[in-house]
Order: sequence, then structure tokens, then C-alpha cells
Amino acid sequence: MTRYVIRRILWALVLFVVVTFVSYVIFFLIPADPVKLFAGRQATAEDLARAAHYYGLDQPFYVQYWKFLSRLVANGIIGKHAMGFSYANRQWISHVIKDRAPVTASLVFGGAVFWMLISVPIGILSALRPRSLADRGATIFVFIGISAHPVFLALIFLYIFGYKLQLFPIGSYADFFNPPEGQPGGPIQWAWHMFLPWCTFAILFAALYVRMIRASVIETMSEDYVRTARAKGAPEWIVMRSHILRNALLPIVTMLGMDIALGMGGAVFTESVYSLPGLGQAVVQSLETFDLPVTMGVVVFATTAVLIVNLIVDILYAFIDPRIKLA
Amino acid sequence: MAATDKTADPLTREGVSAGGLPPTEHGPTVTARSYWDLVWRRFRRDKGALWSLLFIVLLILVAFIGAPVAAHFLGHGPNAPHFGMDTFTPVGPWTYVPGVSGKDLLILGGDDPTLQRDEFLRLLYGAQASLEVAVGAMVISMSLGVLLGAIAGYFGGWIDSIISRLTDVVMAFPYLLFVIALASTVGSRIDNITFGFLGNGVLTLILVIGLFGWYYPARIVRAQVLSLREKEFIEAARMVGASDARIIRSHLLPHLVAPTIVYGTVIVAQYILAEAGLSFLGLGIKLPTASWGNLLQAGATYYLNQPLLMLWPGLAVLFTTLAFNLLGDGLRDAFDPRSSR
Repeated sequence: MTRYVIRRILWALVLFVVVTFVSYVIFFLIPADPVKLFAGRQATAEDLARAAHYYGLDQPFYVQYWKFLSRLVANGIIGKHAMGFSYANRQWISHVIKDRAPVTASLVFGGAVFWMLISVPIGILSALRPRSLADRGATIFVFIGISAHPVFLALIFLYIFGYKLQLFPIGSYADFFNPPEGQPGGPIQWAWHMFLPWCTFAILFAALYVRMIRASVIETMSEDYVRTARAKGAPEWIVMRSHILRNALLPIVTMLGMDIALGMGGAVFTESVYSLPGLGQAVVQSLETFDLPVTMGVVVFATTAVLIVNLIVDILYAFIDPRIKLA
Repeated sequence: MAATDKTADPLTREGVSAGGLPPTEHGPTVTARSYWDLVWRRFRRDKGALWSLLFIVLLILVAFIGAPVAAHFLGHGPNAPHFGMDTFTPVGPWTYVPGVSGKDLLILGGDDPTLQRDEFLRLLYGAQASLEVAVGAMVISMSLGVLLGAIAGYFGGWIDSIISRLTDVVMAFPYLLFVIALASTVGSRIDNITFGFLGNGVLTLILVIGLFGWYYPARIVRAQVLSLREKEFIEAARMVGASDARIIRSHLLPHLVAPTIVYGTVIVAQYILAEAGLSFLGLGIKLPTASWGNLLQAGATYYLNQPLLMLWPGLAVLFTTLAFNLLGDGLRDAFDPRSSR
């Protein structure tokens, strides 16, 4: 077990280095001229040389990358000096991330609660009665869920529930803890503002999970131990609870960890349509102004989050399910 | 005998082994149904998949033949602006606007308050860009995926380790963020390469989306090849002295045709969504070239005043993706009846 955990952690470290290296290449070596972006438009040749020297851009690129990586690690990825500052407004990247990560987190985790609330009952019901009317309905939901674009869903929801029916606010965010002066805040306002984003974000994953839970439950129902439990006369709800669901939902829990991490990427669309000031919106805004350090900061932060969550899920899973191959 | 044969080799003439009647002088000749015939018979029963296939064929015709024809009859192109409309929103459906030669009819209205380009024509031409991106990226992902997966599965050992680690690395990347990163940095350099028939920015999207999407087919093909490798017919081929190249070409690849077609279809659906998303963020097809993604972006800008503008591209993406997903599902059932729900 210890060996497995160590190997898993080492692999996560390797991935971290690869991912930061690739992002570094993409963001600081490929773009036409990072020095020009740093120094501004009206810089003279002398200014450019000075800026290049100041930011260390005149050094060979492996030195640049090494400095970047050591700064990142020494400052713990979100420390103040970890990733420099924005070209556009000289804000610390770490500041941008600290401001915006909670918004994305509330979208992603709230969305995860939503999609589990939708998919677990639907998945189980349609597994219990395959080819019934309910099952067919669930299948239609699955196909529409995986085919609709989140941007389109968000716009439809906003138009119908926000604009026509005026049930929900359009394009604003309410902070849970400390809202800015004169703006709504607190748990109720927060949930009210987040309801449509949660629905939008959850539908794709809900559809995928209905499909997975249905398949998993159907497969588990044909296991020998389920037949044995029925044969010894266990009541149906006990069979369902302790024998079928416990085993069928275990792989779903692992998937959940991975998908919450992946959802950070998918949040980009939901955030940009609902104008939620999250990481996704920061990426979109930084793209418009060609503010590469911000884009890069979010990418590195999100990737690290994904790596850590996957690591935790893998290790937990090895503890929960001893059958897992510890090779 | 029949059962093992079917699992081992889908190219066996099932009709013969199942029917069991050799042609005689007395009875009618029993002709064997070919593999593809059987697949088609099973596929035909799935009405949803059939309608989807019809929809996709029609869509391709409309995009590549219908669009220029419509532009010819309407007398203006998809990128032709109509200035001089004194409005703050795009004009509504079925509006006549002053054009170069008299009045131009905008069937679905305009796309922008100042430019007022024909939304209807842009929707048709947008289908071209969206389909080109989705199919092009699918070809790249599937070729890379099948090739790497087959090599990893067949040779095993250190080659397999390297390729599997590579897939793990690619999977660990937050896909969308990296596609965004690549499109925003590399994209601007290759946006103008069109080979004379692709739209502006289509090649960028094909490469960016395609190069990040190969790991999923690679994993599927690898798993498939790993199990095929141990089958008796491969062993037999090896025993009679067939080379690796021959075994891969004549004994492995035919078995990979079905999964390749099925996942290729499903991946097209995902890539249509990816194109729409990236163009929506302004990273994909560059204006004035139309694509469903940048039409959706324009629709999002005016959705309170002209909600129809986001409805058309949104529905186009929804129905196309739905059609490819349903077709993929139908194909999977047709190729492998045991997988049916």
C-alpha cells in the first residue's frame, strides 16, 4: 500500500513538471514577442532590451523555465510571487486567482450536487425498469444532455427564466461571505444567483451519469451475490441498498472526483454567459487583451488542482476498495 | 462452433454457419449474408439512427451545395454587409434591406446592427466550417488514436509503457484550457492557411482539437487489440509464419473497423460542440467567415432583443450533435448486437 501511494505521488509530480513545462512553452516561447507584451507598445529598442533583461527573457529557455518552476514551487503555486503579474493591469496573478477561485468552486461543487441529485434517482429508476416509459424518457434526456451546448442552454435559461418570467437575476453574482458595498450577498442571495448556472453546468454531467449509473446498476443486479441475497429471503429494499447500490455506486464516486476536477474547464462557458467573476471568465477576459500571464496562471492553477484531486481520489479508492490492483 | 466463430471473427459468413444448409440440387440455394449485410439489417431496425443518417446526409448537401445555390438566388453573399439600416439591433426575420442590386431579402434577418449580414446564409455557410472542423479533427484524432493504440496493444512491453504513459499525461491536462491556450497563441499564426478550400481558422481548430483528442480512441483500440492478440486465429497466423505487418493488416485491422466507425461518429458530435465553444470564445473561426460558434456568439450579444439569433445556431448545433450521437449509438448496436441496451 505504501509503495502504491509513493508511486502515485511520484507520478503526480512528474505530471506537474510536464504540464508546467508544456504551458511554459505554449505561453512564453511560442507567442510572437513576449518582451513587447511586457514593455508595452511604444517601447524603443533600448526599452525592449532593458525589459528583456529585467524579466530574464534574454536567458536560454531552460534557465527561464527552471526559474519559473522554482519560483512556482517556492511560493506554493498561489503564493504572492509565484506567477508574476498581469500585463494588462499589473495585478498579481495570485490575487486574481484568490479572488476568483471561490466563484468557480461554488459553481463546480454546487453543480456536482445538482447533477448527483438528478442522475442518481433517474439512473436507478431506469435501471430497475429497462425499456419502460420512464427509461425511454431518461434515454431522451441523456441524448439531449450530451448534445446541447452549455452556451445555448445558458442563453435559453436566461431568456425564459431570467428575462420572460423574471424568476432569476440576469448576469450577476452575489458573494456568499463578504459582498462588495451595496451589492446583494449572503447564502440565500448566493443560491438564488447561482441556481441557473448550476442547472446549466449540471445537465451535461447529469446526462453522462444517468447513463453510467444505469449501466452500473444493471450490471450489478446480475451478480451472483445479488441472487444469493434474494435466495436467502432478504427483503428487496435491503438487497437494493446493501448489495446493489453499495457496489454499483462505488465506481461512480471515483468518477465524481475526476469530473469535478475536469469541470473546472467546462465552467468557462457557464461563467462567461452568466457573467460570473470566476476563473473561466478571467481566462476569457485575458484572451481578449492577450494577457498571457493570467491565462497561464489559471491553467497552471487548474491543472494542479486536477492533479491533486485525482491523487486524493486514487489513494482513497485504494483504501475503500481493497480489490484494486496495487501495481 | 458457430458461437465461438462469431466472437472470434466478425468477418465469418454467419449465414452459412447459422443456416447450416449446403446448397443441394433439390432445395433452393442458401446464399450467405455478408457481414456488412447483417450489420445493415440490424442498423435498419433502429429508426432514430436511420433518421439521423438521413439528417446528416441532408445537412452535408445543404451546407456544400445548398448554400451557394441560396446565395445565388438571394443575390448576395454570406459576408455581404447591408449598411444604412437605422437600428440598434439586428433586423428581424423576413426583412428587405437596401443592397447592392436593389432590395435584398434577409430571410432570418441580420446578424449585427451595423453590418446586417444575412443570418440565413451565414447559418448555411456556417455549417460548412463547423462540419469541416469536426470531420477534419476527427480524422486526425482517430488516425493517431488507432495507430498508437494498435501499436501499444500489439507490441506491448516498453512501447506499450511509453504510449500508455503518454495517454496518461494528455488525460491529466485540463483539455479545454489547453485548447484555449493553444488556439490563442499558436492559432494566430496558422489561421490564414486554407489550402484554398478551408475557411479562415479552420485548420487551426482541426489541429488544436484533433491533436488533443486522440487519447480516448487510443485507449479503446489498445484494449481491443490486447484481447485480440491472444485469440487463436492470431496464434495460427503467427504459426504459419505471417509477419507482424501482415498480421496487423489482415487479421487485426478488420476487427478495428467497427469500433473506429462507432467512435469516429461519436467524436464528430463532440467536436461540433468543441468548435462552437471555441468560436464562441473568439478563438475559433475568425470573422467574417461564418461558423455556428461565432453565430452563437453574435446571438448571445443580442439575445434579449433578438432571441431568434441565438436560437438558430443553437438548434443547428443541438440537432447535428444529436444526430451524430444517435447514429453512433445505432451503429454500435448494429456492429455488436450483444451491446444493445
